[in-house]
Amino acid sequence: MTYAGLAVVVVAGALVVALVVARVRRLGARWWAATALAAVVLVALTVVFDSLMIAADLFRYDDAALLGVRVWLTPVEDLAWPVVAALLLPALWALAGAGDGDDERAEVDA
Amino acid sequence: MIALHWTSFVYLALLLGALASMALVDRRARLLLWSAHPGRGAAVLAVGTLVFLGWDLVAIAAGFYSRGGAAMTGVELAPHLPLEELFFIMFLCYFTLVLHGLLRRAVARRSPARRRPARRGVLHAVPDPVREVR
Repeated sequence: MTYAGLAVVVVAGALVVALVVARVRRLGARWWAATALAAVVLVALTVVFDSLMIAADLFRYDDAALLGVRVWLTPVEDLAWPVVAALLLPALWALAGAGDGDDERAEVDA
Repeated sequence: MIALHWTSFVYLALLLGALASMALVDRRARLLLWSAHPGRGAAVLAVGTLVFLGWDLVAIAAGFYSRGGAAMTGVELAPHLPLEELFFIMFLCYFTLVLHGLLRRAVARRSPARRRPARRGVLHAVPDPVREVR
């Protein structure tokens, strides 16, 4: 398996969790909008800070295991991290029964 | 032998500072560990952290990446998994949850169907019904 293959598996798993939780907790369009916005922000920050961390030699990649596509210094596979974070963590918070309570419970489900 | 120099602590110090900053935003906006359900917040942070640590361990075991040499203490939780990575992952999870919480409020506020009066901003904590009763 390549690093990209692993990334696809984890993203798929996070997406399934988010879809199931969205259904169980009846999360509406606003939750998905917040999730999409969070993903965009996290991906942008990842490009900047992952590149800085690579430039600082905090970690090194086996180039043979990478697709070879980089955004600045960030291998595209690393962008799976912020996508998984944006899908999985808010879903877990909503599943815990608290994440949808402060702002969305008062809303009528569309 | 671990040669300790102040540069060994740069990354760890930055991460701890970032985590502390998240805690300040969380406290101000009462989103997670300062929400009405701090225990659930801690549990979600812990589960998310374990997921990313597991991802790291699989990727490291497969040889996709390894530890670099700079600006770290040299302490490893597992081969090629630096202590700093644990705090990085905790920060990633905490930041994501705080960001999503603020965005949920922002999105709810922009909606024409909102029923509640406008508040000062997304950092203004939603009134806690329990405290209001007191």
